[in-house]
Amino acid sequence: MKFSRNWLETFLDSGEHAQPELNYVLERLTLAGLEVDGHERIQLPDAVVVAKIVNAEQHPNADRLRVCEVSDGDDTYPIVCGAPNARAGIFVALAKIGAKLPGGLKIKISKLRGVASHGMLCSGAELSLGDDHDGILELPELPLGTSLAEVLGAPDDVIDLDLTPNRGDCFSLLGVARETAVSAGVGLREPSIDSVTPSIKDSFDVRIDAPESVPVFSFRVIRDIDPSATTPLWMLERLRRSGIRSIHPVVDITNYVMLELGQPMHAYDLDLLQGDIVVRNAQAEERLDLLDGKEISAAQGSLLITDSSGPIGLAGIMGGASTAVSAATTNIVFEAAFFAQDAMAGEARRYGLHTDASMRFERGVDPDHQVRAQERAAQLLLEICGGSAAEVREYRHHDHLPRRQPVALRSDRLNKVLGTNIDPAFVTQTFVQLGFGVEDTSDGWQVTPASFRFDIEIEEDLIEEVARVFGYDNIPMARAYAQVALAPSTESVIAEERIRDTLVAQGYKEVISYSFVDPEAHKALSAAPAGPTLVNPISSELSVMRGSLIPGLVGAALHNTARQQQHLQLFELGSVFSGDAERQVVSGLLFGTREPEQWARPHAAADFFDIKSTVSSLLTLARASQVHFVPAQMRTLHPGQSATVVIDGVDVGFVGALHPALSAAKDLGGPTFVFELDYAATFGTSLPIALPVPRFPAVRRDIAVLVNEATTVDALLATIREASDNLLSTVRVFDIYRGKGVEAGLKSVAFGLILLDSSRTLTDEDVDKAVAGIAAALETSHGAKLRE
Amino acid sequence: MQDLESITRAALDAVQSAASVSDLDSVRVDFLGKKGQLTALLKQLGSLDAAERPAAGQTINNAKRQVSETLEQKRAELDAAALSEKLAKESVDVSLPGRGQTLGSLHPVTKARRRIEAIFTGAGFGVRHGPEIEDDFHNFTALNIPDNHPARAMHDTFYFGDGRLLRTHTSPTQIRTIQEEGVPVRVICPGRVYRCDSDQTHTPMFNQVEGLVIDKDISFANLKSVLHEFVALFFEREAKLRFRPSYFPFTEPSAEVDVMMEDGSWLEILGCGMVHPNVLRNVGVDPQEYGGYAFGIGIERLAMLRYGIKDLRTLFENDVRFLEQF
Repeated sequence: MKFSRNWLETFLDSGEHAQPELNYVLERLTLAGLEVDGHERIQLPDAVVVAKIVNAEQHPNADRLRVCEVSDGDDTYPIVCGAPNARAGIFVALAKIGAKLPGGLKIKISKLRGVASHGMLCSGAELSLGDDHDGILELPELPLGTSLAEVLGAPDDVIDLDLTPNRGDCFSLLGVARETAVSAGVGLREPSIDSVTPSIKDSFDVRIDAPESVPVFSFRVIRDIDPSATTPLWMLERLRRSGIRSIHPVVDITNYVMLELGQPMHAYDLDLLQGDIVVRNAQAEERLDLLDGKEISAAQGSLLITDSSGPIGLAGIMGGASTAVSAATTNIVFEAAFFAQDAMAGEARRYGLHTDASMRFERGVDPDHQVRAQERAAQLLLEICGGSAAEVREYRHHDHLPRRQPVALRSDRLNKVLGTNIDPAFVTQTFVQLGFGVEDTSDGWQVTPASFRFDIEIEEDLIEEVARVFGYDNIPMARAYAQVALAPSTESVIAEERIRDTLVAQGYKEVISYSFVDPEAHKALSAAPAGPTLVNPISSELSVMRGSLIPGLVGAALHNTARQQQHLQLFELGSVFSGDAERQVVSGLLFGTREPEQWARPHAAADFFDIKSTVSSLLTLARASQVHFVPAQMRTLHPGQSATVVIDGVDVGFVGALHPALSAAKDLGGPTFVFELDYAATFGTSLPIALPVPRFPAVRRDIAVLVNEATTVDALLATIREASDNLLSTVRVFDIYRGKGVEAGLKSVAFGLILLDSSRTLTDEDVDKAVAGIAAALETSHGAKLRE
Repeated sequence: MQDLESITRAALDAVQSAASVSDLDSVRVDFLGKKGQLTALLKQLGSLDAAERPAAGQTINNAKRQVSETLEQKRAELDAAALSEKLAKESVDVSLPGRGQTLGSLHPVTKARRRIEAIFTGAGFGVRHGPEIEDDFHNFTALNIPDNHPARAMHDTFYFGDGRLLRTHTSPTQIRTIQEEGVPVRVICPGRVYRCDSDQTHTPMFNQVEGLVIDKDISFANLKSVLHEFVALFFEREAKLRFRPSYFPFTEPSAEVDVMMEDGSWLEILGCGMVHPNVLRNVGVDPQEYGGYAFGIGIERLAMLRYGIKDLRTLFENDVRFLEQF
């Protein structure tokens, strides 16, 4: 809601005091819940005055310039002007020598193509009165020499309010003034509206077929208006400062009344109406050409204004083109209705037509205001365009009017909810000022909401009104006394934060990527299918819910490799989606060098085992014991460098190199390694149960065996453990060798066996026996030959 | 005893001119060893008068001690010199960077969320999480936002077309918490939320923490107190707050809260209010018996203020040059 401060002040009665300061008004409105979104100063220099072009002649040296004689009543000035509409006889805005225009231009005597110009004739844009650059401003006939600032009501401020959906009553100067009066402590001056005495009779009629949606419908015929009349400057300016363009004097008047009283109105050209008006619900797919040139197909049930030709307006939203007033219009019908909120809800959104009218009807207009608005409009119309008015006719369906039930407010409850001790007299006064009916009761008040308020139904609504006017800043602060039970703290799951910290400690940077992704990119980069698809995505690139975090990580990697990054370690912990299910996963990505470039170790490309060590440390964090990395065949991963992570026989995720044939892998330009672990499946954990530290020394023996390339270390380790007769404390793989001395197709794997008995010191004999048993088992199970 | 003096002098000279520990060892053998010159003098004592012997013996022993002490002192000097030389050879350029991995980084949104959680859990709030794909009841209806309510337009919701939607706030988690745990309740609900809006100051996904306290005697004064304390603790400075009346369907009275910036201007940081009785009724709580407050904080906004981040969108670009600063 945008409006002129000067206009607002006409509704405020500050008695003998000056009108309140702008900043005070802005602050009071904001603190009353009408948030000020912005304000803009409107100022016009004194040296811009009303003048008249007495004579206009062609410039001797320039085709497109004219030399005008311009009179301000006292003097006549020669002025060179390039505007196409500069002609003798019109009233114009003259910026005299010394005037400083809003844009900063200072007017001096200047020579244009050899002819001196003693001032400038201004366009609307040059005076910051709109964006019309096409020609100079043409003014109505006004006393010459009058300051334009005075004529247009400057200085002024345009105040812009960001209203909440419950305050439809503040979509009018009257509503804002009521709030300003209450919160700034000044009086409210209701506009005085005299009835226009009917001077003609008219047989025109209206039928309401949907009274539950149209509890009030008023109309009035006005004949013989002057089609050449123009909207007066003061009204144009007030409309303009509210952001409304001038269209036609009749339309301007309906807009003006809407801004003033909050009642949207519509004007029909009476001569274009065919038969009586019927207000009814649309049957399926009724076509209607609207005022703005669009054609709609009204959905079944939408409220339509119709005549015998069919729909002529979308009720409460926009009128139709076929009965619109035009420059030729002489007879009109004004409509002022109360369309029920239920009937209007969702309609503007359905047609994508959020108009000034629909915004007000959706939020609720005062159902007692229609006749008042008719009288105001007729009064303005007769003043501006002349004509003869018939009487206002109003259909009122009392059964369907919004009820204004009295609401009880208990004093105890008020102060308990707010934590205050508010003077009861203040409460009574507040409701009176807000226009509510109020009666004292034994424990508080009985309050009847004003007809223009649609947000007062329960006690809390009244508490809010009192709190608002009392001032939130005046409510004290108090700590609550709470019974706090100690919170449970589980040790059976590793907290997400611990996982984040572990990854950060390993050099990974946390990213947050969108939960919705490009379906194509997701399909290419994730073996898991994407989740559900949005019907109204921001764009097709953000249209499906991710089934994996890998596409997001790869996207982030691409962003960074395009910016010269050589080494990336990224991770994310977040939700993935599939069908109805939603689960948390943690994923990481490693790209480029093994570590950030440094001096001490040779520069090496990252490989599978770098990211595997990160995965392993996460599994260690989770105290997972029965872990296997099983070679995986996943469409998105390198078939020879990828594994499924299995804990206790359950797949919990994967780790591996992105498949080099993927286009994203090619764009990255180097091997890229990723992992993804399901949070719930991986990070459930068990309590450590401490074992005593061994009292006897351990013995280490190293053995190396030759096995087939296809034999996994995992399988060899399993055999070693099985054969170790409980003496094996730890086994380490300390070397893998291929090449000289090892037959092709074989590899040498070296193990460090650490043997220990908890009850005695092992003898050489014990150790030899254990190692021989292990070697024999390796040979039996894997054909492994001991290397000498 | 002329001999003693010259031998002692010769011994001390030899100690001083020794260049190494082995030189010193030969000096010791030459003068103090079994066949050393000073030892030899002692052996000659027998040829003296018994009366002279003690004095002469003491003189010789004093000379031996003097030589021995000087020698040990010299040995210590040579050892120290040798060690310094060895250490000098082993010295490294300590200004070279350390070997190996550098630390990664937490996302600033995570850092801010952790601060928020730490502050509230310290005051006995629980932390609850809920699904990001929600149903209409939990996201809207239960929160007193019926169909066609104008407030739905404020939410710019993403829909899946089957009645499900992406939650527009974490309030549905509060509803689920009351449904599952009953009242009284004291929780915060952090998480991702989604709105169909994308421009310089809006991203279609962002993070919220919503708080909820329901008990028998909770007032707006309590809400003001907790938020004042929270903001001061989060920013580690006294912050001036302004509570403005506003409108949310799920709270009444409702407020938006502005914090005063260093230049004296106000910046909105959160919304809050007293839980609307319809919300309580929708989850089976008697609003005459129980009441409470709720608030919703945008984590990005707080992270931006805390860490001087100027552009919201950088939070989701995942540029490592941005991320590594946190």
